[in-house]
Amino acid sequence: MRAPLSTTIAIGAGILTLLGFFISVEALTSVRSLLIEWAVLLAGVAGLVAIAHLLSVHWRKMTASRNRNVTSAFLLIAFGITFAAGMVLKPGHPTIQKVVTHIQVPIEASLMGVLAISLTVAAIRLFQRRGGWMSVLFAVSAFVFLILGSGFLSSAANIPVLKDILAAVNTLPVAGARGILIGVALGSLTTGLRVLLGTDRPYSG
Amino acid sequence: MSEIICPYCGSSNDIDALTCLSCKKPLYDDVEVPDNAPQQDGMDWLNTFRGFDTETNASTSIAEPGSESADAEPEIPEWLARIRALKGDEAPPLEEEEPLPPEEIPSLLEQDADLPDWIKEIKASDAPQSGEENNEDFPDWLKDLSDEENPTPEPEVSVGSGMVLPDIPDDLSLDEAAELNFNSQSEGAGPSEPVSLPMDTGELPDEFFRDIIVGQTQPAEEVDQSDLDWLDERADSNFPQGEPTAQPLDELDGQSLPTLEQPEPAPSAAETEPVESPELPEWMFESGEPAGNETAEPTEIDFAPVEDNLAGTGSEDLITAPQEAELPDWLLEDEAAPPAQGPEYLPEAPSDLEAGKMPGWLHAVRPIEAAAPNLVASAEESRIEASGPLAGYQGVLPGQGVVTHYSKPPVYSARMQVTDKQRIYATLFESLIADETRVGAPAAAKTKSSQLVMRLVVGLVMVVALLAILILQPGFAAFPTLVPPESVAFYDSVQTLTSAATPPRVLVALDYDPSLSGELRTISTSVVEDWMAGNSGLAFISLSPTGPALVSELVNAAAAQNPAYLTAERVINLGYLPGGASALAALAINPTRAAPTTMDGLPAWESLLLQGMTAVADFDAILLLTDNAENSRAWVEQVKPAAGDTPLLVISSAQVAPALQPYVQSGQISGMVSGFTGGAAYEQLTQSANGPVRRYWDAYQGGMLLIAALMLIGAAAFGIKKFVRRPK
Repeated sequence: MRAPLSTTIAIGAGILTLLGFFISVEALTSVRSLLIEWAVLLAGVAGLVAIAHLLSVHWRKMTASRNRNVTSAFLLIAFGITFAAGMVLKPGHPTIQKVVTHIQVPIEASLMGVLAISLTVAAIRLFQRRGGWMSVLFAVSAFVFLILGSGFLSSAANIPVLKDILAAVNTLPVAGARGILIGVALGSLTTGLRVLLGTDRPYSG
Repeated sequence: MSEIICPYCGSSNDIDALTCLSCKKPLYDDVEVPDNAPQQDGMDWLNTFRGFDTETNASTSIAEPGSESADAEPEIPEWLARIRALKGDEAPPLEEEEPLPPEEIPSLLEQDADLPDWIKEIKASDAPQSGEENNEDFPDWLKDLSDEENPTPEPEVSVGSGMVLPDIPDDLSLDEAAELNFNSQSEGAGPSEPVSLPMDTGELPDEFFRDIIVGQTQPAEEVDQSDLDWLDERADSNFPQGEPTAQPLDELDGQSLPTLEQPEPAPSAAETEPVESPELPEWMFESGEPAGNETAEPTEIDFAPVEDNLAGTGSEDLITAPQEAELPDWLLEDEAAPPAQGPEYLPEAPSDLEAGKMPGWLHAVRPIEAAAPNLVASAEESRIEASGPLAGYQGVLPGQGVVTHYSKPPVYSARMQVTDKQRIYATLFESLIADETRVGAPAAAKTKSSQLVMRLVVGLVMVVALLAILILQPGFAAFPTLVPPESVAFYDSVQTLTSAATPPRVLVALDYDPSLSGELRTISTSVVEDWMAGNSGLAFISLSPTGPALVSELVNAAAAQNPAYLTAERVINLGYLPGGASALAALAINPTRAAPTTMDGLPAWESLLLQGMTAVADFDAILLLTDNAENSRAWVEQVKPAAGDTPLLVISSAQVAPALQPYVQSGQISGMVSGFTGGAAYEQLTQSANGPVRRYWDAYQGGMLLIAALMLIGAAAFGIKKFVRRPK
């Protein structure tokens, strides 16, 4: 058996957490709360580790002897400034808030706009690149839901036949989402059982 | 103990045995060793052929009873000699030297009760019967042969004359065969009655067969008289003087006697015909006559080669028997030394005996060279190679004839026979391949440039159209008249809480990225305005690192529409909660420990807004702003059970709405506003004419219709293009 100590700790923590969820005993609830708080702290530390790794990667790119990446210097400089301002001004300061609302939000929103244009071009060229009934089905469905999502037909929803048709069409995404959720639930259950039984040990490396 | 150990070889024997079954030596000192036991020396039979040392062999191998101990003494181990010496001192001399009276002989026979039954039967049948009566037990064919071969009683005893001994064990066959022959000859018609039977050696051991050959091929007159001296002496010592030689010899039961060749003056012709013996194969005589030569005289056998080889050695007289022709050279050389006793061993001319027939099995085992020495050499072996590197060799496999005979290979036409239709198809296929190889590279460059142009054109069209709509605000898009039920439920919940006497305290969770803040902030601003209009206490918590900044932007945008709302007192920011689903679980169990402080570092749960609250259920409502389906599901699964009756309201992007619809339909989510369509429906319900959604509604609907139109145009254009280019 590989990593017996880690396996024992993982299975024990999982069983205690599961029992604390179903059995309302003070001891189990306290243990469960304690374990979950440890998990939250470890997740915060993992965030710090991720930041440190990001900085190290861009430092190596910037200091590499061949194929040096100059743009990594901008990232490192921006990170230093933001970190220093946050430590000095605190995260709730309006200046720190503007770093996010005036820099990060427009950039990410612009990326979403470019994505919208790219997807439009791809939809236009769909029949140029690939034919077949699947392409036709995808184009028809995209077209229909674009019209429905735009609210263009909402004014015509009072028509009896069209109302029923729109209701039936709007049910299709919900049906698909239910199937996905059922699959996700079964997958989560299986994964949890595998971890509790020691069959799946992602922590052993 | 039912066994006795042989003092010579140490092998185990039965207690009743007198001689050792292995070495044929006596087990007791008072028992004589039969001199006709299986001869250990396999070349003794040759000695009989040579004849020169018969006298010496007789003197050594056929020991007299009285001189047995003296002759065998050198072979006796020292320990056994001492035992015998002690035994001789203590015990009186054995009485074996004394002849047994005839009346005691039956008693000795009775002691053989342990012998097998068949031996007893043989003994019983042999003892009282004469020679003629003995023949009655033999098969008819055996009798006939016996009568034919011995028309008149001959004073000869031949041991190896072909007794059929069925199933005789190897150990007993020799002794018993000698015994039977002896009994039958001595008790039957007397020593002058021969028993000459056809030989059936299929079940006899080799040694017995060897003895038979010796006895058969050694005429009585050829045996030196000195060989039989021991018998005379034994007869003189064992039997009373004056007793006839036909005295019963049952006293010798259990002992095998040597081949008794009674010295008769007139031996039978069959016994004096060693060469013409039917049992001897032909190949045994290299220079002998063919087997079927019945009348051939032994003197007619051509012994010239052998005699020539022995010429000058003084042994010409030894070559008197045809068997000498088979002797190896080394033996012939040895024979040259002893003095010859030629005249006694000269084969006499056979009488009118007819030649015997060689058994089939002997024909089968004889060497093929003896039967057909010249057949092996075939014509091919005698062929001599005339050419090539093996020229001059004999017996080479013929190959020249095969090599020299060749023919010209047939010539087949390589021209394919095709029809006109096949030729047309081939031409068409060739042209198709040529087109494919010709248009490859230019088409790729053209496609790349056309893609870039298309992207630019599409991007410009969309940007220009949306900007024109946003700037012009044409107002062509009407708000939806039909509102989704989840939006109605959401609206009802908000109105119920804000219209209450006590201002509600709402936990607002921001779980979206800045990339989608344009959609979610626009939708949620009107909702937060309504909450602020109801003087609700808002506790913000974020599951995204950028969430706290987005909270400030959202609060500021909503508070701008509600100047009387005391943001500093009624709004608290609990900051970022890392850990995903685990953080939500911790928040559901004990929010005071999961988010103990505000963004400013102050104790959150000691403020006026959150004072007295220890659980999620203490909030009046939970409002979730999300663009992530997984985190939305985690909120439903982890927080909602701990919230109890506290309604969970969701404002989501359009892409997450289908994933949250099942939870809305199940009641786990009390109300939901999704996307611009939901925001428009909510503003429609609140009858807000200048809401944020309303400002973007024309651009949103116009952009969606423009994208749909571009897709339709592109599909039509490329579809028609492919249809036109499709080969007929």
